[in-house]
Amino acid sequence: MYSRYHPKSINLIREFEHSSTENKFDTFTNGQLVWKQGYFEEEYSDNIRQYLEECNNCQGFQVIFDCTDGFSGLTSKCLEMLEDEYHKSIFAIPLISPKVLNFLNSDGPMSDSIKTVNIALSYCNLIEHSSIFIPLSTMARGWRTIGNKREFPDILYDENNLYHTSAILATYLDTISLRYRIRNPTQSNYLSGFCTDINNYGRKLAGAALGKLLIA
Amino acid sequence: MSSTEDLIDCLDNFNEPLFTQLSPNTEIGIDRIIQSTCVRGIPQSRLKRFLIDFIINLTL
Repeated sequence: MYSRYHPKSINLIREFEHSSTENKFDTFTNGQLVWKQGYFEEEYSDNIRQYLEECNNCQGFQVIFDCTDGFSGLTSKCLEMLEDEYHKSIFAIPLISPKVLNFLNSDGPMSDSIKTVNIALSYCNLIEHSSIFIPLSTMARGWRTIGNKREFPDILYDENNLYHTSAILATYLDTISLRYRIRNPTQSNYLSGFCTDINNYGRKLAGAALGKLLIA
Repeated sequence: MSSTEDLIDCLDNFNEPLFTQLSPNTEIGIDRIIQSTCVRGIPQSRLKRFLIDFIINLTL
């Protein structure tokens, strides 16, 4: 099973390797350093620009990212670039994974502390650089601990299986984005309209909820 | 929601909590909130009874 992504849409971080036992890409600052040092900024910016040149009508950006590890810092720099270069709406979705891995050379409590700081810095940055942001997780809490899993009527899922949990989050995103993905939307149904409807009074943080009505 | 019911009637008669929160540490209230709601999979004809039906019912 593999994803058929366009090669231009993949930007590899060469300094870090994925591990299923511990997370080596740990802090917000580490993520920002990846952006500042070397190849990443140039490659990412070029790839985005090439994509946008092919667009007829770019409404804005949906940015989905892990906000508990180094990707929080890397995304903060990406958002700064998108805001400075394109002045479009940015709908950011920070994710809190139900699977907790300790960071490299850190025990459980230290990893929890690093995670909390990453989330705090990420939210602080999102207030400045996004049009709206909606944290998503299938777990009830998303701070130092992640709490119990959310129960959805008529859905049986394993909270440790990322295929299951991401399917629930994808259902939410697929539904809420229908409004600005329909063909020939009215002016208020563009991504900018969606953002300005909710971020009245400069409030950027919103909460998400998913419901289901069984149709007989 | 039954096969003859409209969405508006179904929501009127709904007694259980309709939503499960997907954002951590949040319990969204029912007043003083700004929300954007998206509904999918329900045909336009089943959103709400047509006005003409109301008029016919009233005249009967």
